[in-house]
Amino acid sequence: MVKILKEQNNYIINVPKNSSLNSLFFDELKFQLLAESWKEESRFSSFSSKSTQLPSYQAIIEMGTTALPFIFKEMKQEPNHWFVALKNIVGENPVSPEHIGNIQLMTNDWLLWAKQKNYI
Amino acid sequence: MGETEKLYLTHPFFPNSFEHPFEITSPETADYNCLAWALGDSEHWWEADENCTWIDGIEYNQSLTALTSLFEKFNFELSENILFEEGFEKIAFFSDDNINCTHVARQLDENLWTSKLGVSYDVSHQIQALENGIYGQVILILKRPLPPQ
Repeated sequence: MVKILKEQNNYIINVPKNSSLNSLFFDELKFQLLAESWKEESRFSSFSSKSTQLPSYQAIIEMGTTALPFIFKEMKQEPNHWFVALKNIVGENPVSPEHIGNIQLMTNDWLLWAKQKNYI
Repeated sequence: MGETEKLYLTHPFFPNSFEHPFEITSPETADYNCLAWALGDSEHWWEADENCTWIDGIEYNQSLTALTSLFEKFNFELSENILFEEGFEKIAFFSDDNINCTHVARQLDENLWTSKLGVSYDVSHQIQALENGIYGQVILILKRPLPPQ
């Protein structure tokens, strides 16, 4: 089993000798570390327009379509302000105008879109 | 929250919380923010942003001016002081630059205020517990008459 240990500012990845790590593993690891960092930094932010400018969030946008399955997985577990990242990455916005401002309904609109596009 | 226990929050982002801990009064949720909570709405995230609830005609930013205009739409007006007044509801705007709002809290009684902290908890707290941290200082007080009981 792969174990990830945080040691000051570094992450140590402990991998059993008989297993190998593929690029998907590192993509998901990168996303999770960025997402955790963003959630910790933005936890008390009153405005999403401020929190989505944080470097960790911008780095997730820079991951492009690679980040999409991980964002949708995250949204299913814990709705949050992923809408800016999604719109930037896919160039679409499937949210119904009457759902704007309601995080749960906006999340549902995006998850339905993700299902239709086979991301989940 | 359990009925017999009280949970408190302290955090380095709010240094005063170590002396005056916040009492947690809700689960963590991104469903609404402090503006919504100050307005009594726990289903929408209020902010001048394309993904959030806002009112047409109000300046499209998070400045103290814009937020004052927003709350005036809900019968709030400037208050001369922060003191509790029977028959009135008061809210406090926080700022770290005297221009933009960082947080809004709503007064509960003589001692306590209620705040929604970002995508985290609702908490009840003394007003000074939130000061000198990431929200800066209380910069403006608004009030509105409460409906007759």
